[in-house]
Amino acid sequence: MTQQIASGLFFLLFGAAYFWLATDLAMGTAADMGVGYTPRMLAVGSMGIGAILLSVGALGRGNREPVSLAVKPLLLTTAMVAGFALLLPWLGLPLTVIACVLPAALSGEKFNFGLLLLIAIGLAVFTTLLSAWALKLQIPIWPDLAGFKFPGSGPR
Amino acid sequence: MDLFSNLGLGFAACLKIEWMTEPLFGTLIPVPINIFYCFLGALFGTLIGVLPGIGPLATIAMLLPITFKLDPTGALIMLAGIFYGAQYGGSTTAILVNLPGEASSVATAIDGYQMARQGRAGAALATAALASFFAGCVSTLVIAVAAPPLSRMALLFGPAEFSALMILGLVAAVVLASGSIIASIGMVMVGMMLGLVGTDVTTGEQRFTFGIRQIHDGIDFVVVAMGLFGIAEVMSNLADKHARSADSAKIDSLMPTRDDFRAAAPAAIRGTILGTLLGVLPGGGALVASFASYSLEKRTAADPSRFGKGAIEGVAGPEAANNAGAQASFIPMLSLGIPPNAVMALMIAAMTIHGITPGPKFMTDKPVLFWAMVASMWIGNLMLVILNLPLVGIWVRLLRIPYAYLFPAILVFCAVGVYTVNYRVFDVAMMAGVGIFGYVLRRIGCEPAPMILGFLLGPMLEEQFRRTLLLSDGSLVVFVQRPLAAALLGVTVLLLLVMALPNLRKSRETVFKE
Repeated sequence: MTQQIASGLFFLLFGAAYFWLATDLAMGTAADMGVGYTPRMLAVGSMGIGAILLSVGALGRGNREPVSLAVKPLLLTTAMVAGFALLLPWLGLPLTVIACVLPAALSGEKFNFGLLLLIAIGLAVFTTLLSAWALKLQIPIWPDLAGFKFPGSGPR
Repeated sequence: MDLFSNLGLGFAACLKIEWMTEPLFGTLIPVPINIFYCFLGALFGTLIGVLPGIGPLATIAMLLPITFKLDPTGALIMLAGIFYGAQYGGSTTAILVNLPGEASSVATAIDGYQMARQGRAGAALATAALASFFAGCVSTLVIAVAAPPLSRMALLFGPAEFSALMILGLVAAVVLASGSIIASIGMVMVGMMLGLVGTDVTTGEQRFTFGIRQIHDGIDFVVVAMGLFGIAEVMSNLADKHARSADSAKIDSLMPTRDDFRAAAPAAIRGTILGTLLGVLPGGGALVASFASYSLEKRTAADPSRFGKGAIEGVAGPEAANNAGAQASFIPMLSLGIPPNAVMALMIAAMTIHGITPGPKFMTDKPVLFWAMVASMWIGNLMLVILNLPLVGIWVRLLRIPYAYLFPAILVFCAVGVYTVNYRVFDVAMMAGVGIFGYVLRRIGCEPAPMILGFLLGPMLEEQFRRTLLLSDGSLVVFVQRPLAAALLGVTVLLLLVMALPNLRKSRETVFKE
């Protein structure tokens, strides 16, 4: 699939989904706009853009680069960041940082494991000192295994 | 003169000395606190300018939480320093190893690296630093001169004018962005749609929140900015596996010869003018200015064939232009409250966190803060010359840090930074989601920069537009009746028409290709 077709599909689908989600919002009139007025306009605009990009792409014109979605960096990076969100309330900052840095070993870039471990520890110490000690931010430091909660499930 | 007394006020605030207790013996020591923050900003800016794969946007976003505890003057001085410092740092690596740290240094790399290969690295570095310094001084003065009248004018703005101005900003962002124009318009719209998530200002009604408590006040701007320019950037860099081996050219004498100087000075002046003009334009700024200056120098040169083979004008012009452009983009942000690019959008977010609303009233409400920021830019530029020329060896060594160590550090700083904005792990998870979104968009050929502008301006534009039509009873004629609004929309239409002209479209393509 070319990038042209893919981007056309994206705008079309995004606009359509947005329009559908906005159906319950009051439309109002131009002089007295409801909360659904602008969202609908934008959704229609996005669908229009999608249609234009798609038709240009269907003619074989436009951005002919193929889409190459490398999945590994996507998964690795997401896992590292989402892991941080999941582990922080449970492990506290320093351990979370170490746990999130180490998977960098899987990136396929050249590295030395000892040095990576050193960097993980260094980052853990640095961020902890900076946020908890120097800036006195309220960030959990010590592990709290009983307090484990999924993100968004409680008042965190 | 008003100007001088104002600048004096600014310099006095910058040079403010605070007595601090030194921890070991408890003696009081004088600390020029704002100069220190200015230095810190310039230093961080240079650092991230040198490192490829992390831009000023992600850095400002990461450092935002650190500034919560600072007083607003110091915080804003530091954040501004990061922005223009990055323009400086990017050029160093562009010249020495042909690796532009920032997109706006790409034009510098063309001739700068050739100069370095011919053994004139020192001259190229000095030219870049001096041209940037010159441009920084001039554009700081332009801010001081142009911002007050502009904000007085903005006080006369009604909702119709603000709507027209924002539309102009969004269209200009699209026209001057790289990549497909239609896709960029789409990205602005997607940004606006995401910006509308949350509680509607006028009615208090919830939109697109799906009962998720954490987004009742809208999706946090910092989350979006870090997801798009921190996380998504890391993903793209890992996917592309840039050639990162860097063999640095040797640096000999730093002094340019007299001939160098004679060739570079006019180019730097032209670059400064071009950069200032393009920087004020919404959507313009450093990136476009540097490319525009490079093609201007090439086109007006007596012998264009020298370009690409180490022409010093090709270093002086774009370097002056990108620095002037970066600084001039503060003008619409400070005086109108409208961000001309994504970094300025983040600066607005930073000011809002400190309880300051940029806009026409900012200058009269907080004169000390405003003029201190302007004065700090001049001081910061001077520091950058000092930081960059003698310490160039250290910066080059930084380039050898393998990405395997750099990217986990970037991710950790992003995660800690976002967490401390609201103390919610939800935001960190959401940032990962935005990162995936941005990465996929980039892979289908859509640059996310116009999106962030739409995200910030979307709700503002909706509010002003709604108010305009409420006052005019739903008639769009009001946009033509009010002369200022009509003029702004006229410029917008003109921009769109110009883009539709085929031969201009072609020259735009060549500019971005070089």
